[in-house]
Amino acid sequence: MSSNNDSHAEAHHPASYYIRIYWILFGLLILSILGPLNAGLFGNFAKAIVMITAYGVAFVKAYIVAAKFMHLDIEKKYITLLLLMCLLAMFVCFGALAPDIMNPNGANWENHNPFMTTAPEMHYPTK
Amino acid sequence: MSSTTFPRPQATTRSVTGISTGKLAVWWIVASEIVIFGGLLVFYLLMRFRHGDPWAEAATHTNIYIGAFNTFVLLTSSLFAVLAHQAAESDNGKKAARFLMYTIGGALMFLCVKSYEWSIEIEKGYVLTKNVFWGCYYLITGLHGFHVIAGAIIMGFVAKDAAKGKDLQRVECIGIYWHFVDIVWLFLFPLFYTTAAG
Amino acid sequence: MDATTTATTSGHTESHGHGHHEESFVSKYLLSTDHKIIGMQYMFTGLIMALIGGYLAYVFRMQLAYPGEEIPGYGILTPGDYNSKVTMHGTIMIFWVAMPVLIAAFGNFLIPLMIGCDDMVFPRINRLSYQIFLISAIILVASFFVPGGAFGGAWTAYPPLSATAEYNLTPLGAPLWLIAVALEFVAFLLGGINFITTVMNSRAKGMSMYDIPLVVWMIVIASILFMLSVGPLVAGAVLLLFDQIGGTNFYNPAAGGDPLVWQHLFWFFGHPEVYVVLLPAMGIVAEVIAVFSRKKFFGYKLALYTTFATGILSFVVWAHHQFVAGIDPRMTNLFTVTTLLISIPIAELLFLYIATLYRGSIEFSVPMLWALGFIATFLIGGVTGIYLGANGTDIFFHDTYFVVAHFHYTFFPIAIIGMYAGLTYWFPKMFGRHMNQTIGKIHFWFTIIPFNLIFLPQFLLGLAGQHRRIYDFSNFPQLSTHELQHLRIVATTSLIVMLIAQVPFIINFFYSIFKGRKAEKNPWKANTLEWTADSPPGHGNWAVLPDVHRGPYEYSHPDRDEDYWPQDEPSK
Repeated sequence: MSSNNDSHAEAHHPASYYIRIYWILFGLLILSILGPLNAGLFGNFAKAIVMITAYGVAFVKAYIVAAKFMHLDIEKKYITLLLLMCLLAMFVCFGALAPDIMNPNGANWENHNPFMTTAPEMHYPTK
Repeated sequence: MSSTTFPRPQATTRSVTGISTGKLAVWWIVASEIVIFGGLLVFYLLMRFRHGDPWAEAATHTNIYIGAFNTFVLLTSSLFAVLAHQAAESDNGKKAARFLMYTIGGALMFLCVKSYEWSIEIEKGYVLTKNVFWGCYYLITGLHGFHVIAGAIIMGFVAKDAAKGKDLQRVECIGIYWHFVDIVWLFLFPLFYTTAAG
Repeated sequence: MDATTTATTSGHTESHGHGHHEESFVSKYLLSTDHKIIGMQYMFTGLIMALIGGYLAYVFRMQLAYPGEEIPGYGILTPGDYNSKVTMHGTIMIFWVAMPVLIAAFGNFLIPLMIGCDDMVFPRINRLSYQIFLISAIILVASFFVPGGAFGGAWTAYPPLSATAEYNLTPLGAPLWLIAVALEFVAFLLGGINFITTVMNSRAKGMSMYDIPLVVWMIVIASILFMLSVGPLVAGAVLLLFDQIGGTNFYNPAAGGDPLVWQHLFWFFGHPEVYVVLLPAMGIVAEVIAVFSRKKFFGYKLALYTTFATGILSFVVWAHHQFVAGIDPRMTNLFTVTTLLISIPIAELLFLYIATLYRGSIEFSVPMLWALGFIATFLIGGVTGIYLGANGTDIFFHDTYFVVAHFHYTFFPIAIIGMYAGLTYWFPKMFGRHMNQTIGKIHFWFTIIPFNLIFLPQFLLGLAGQHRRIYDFSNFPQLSTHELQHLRIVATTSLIVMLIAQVPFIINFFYSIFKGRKAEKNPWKANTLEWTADSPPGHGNWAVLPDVHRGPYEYSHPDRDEDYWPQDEPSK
């Protein structure tokens, strides 16, 4: 049986609507490739260009897929709230870990092997 | 999963919230998957900021063109998934099943391209154990790929039923899961491929 | 479910239902999709694992009381093996006893009955979740028998110890442990989706949000907490597994990793996890207290909102487990504040229990004894947590037996006392018979008094500086004094008494399933919907699903002759 108990949560758009959104997403994809590849052309703004065209576009595309393809824009609001809470928890997690993890050195010591291309030889204590 | 003989309890058909039971469950699944992938990406980002330049250097060795092609494949498969949902809404089970099969085709192409990509990288010596960047790369994209496989398999079952006109409400549910898998990749793409190129 | 009585592991005497087909033992009990059977499956698996966990505790406590001597029923305990025993005791008790019994068993059995529907919304996924859980239990128990033995890196599995076989000496046990835990998480994710969706969507007609019994709310909120907190640990566990067997270095600081990340990811889940197990226990106690005080639960909405607040707060307290791990001291200040804050809603819930008891007509039935015992012992557990939640005092208490005593004064009330309260209360509904009340009372006293004698000494030992996870204190002169050793012996002896006291319960339990006095539908004269079904309920629970007309706690209502008012009785 097709959708039961759904209270008008389905918007009846023609296929052309979704295909139009698809081409927008495709265009954004192209932007997100060309931007980082050619960021060097922008001199001092290279980093900003990369940020906007790589991550900014990622967020915009994610929003479009979530709202238009997953129909979150017409879904009950608490579903979106639930998903945003999960994202918030991840930001909290990142923020609380960052002071410890983002610095490889401690207050009284330094890590002289921060990033290796092969693991170092480990010497384990023998019995 | 033969649902022809399994008697569904009345509980399954009730809907106090107004959202169908299957869809409600899929949203909760998506919520829990956000924190799973979120945890992995938190780890990745922390490591990335910690290590700075050597990490960025390691990340330049991923192939942006293969990554972009895969992003395109997943995007297109998402389109087919939403068109399948649309067909299911109009009670056209056969059309929905056809679009779902295109989606699965996209999944298979994604997996083939990824296998090819991995084989090139492994051949060049960029293996799982090379350093923490490559460990993250294989594990995170691998876990994502595992979700693609699982989604494709479930989608196959839904398509089989939909072609017979059965349980068309499941087309939307598997579609929601599929879009989520697509969104995860939308973030993996810049993290692993493009921002290193800049 | 139609069958004549058979002597089976989960034998029920069923009322004859719609007898259109005789099911085989396998399809009726092993492959059932009925929520009541699945609940029983979880219950029995959890109880068996509790016996294993209790035996492990016996073994290492004997070592602590009589170091180096041969342990009756075990043999000599080596240091590496000691680590394995304490690791597996903790792991089994939390993941394979507390969670399956409190959430999966009671949740599965009670939720459809208490909200008035005929099963969970996804019965086959329900069955799958138990099957995955059973596999996880088998893998965990199998890890005892592999070369090297079961995992010995502590239930918190900190790397590098847990990631490096050369350190933890359990090269096969370590990945098996991880895989078992991961599978258990999958099982509970699947179960959680069932619980949440069922309660959100399948309530009886007329059952508003505020008519849902507290125990159902608690199990649902616990499931939500679990689902939203387990993700980072799944992530961290995958990374740890590959460090163990894949040669990666995610947690190896010499090669670019960081062991502190595991700690954070683990405890980001680990702290909500303790509330995941606490809330169902508090829900069970709430039900029992209301029924046996014949009084409306004091502050239902307050309890609900308090629980929401607890749930949200529980996500921002985790680093109190890491105060001395070398994290940023400014973080410790932040987490001290949040940790002390979270004691407030829990304390408030305890006050609500006391307010419900106040001026009630208290009946000291066996479930009520357990519920009161919960309040008394959990109070001690909660209060001692304050000392640990403050970063200053925690410098001295971290990793001492003060912590061990604190978490046993919280976990034991949760997992064991809460379990017994629920079991003795719902036994008539589950099996259609009564347990022997006299044995029940004896069992209660011979459990709760020894329990206190095991763990009160451990506060003193912790204050004296005794550290956790140490096999033999004879190398520490200040800890090897006669007085301290005496405390250890008291604890061990009390443990043995307590373990022996569980035997009458086991006998009472199984005997009553088959030969107990038959129970009618509502022996405790309670309001909630499960008491309107048969004892035990048949397949589909009711012939006609009930409607709801009022809240669950209308006891001693002034307009009524009887002191209870079932939820499904129509208003006049």
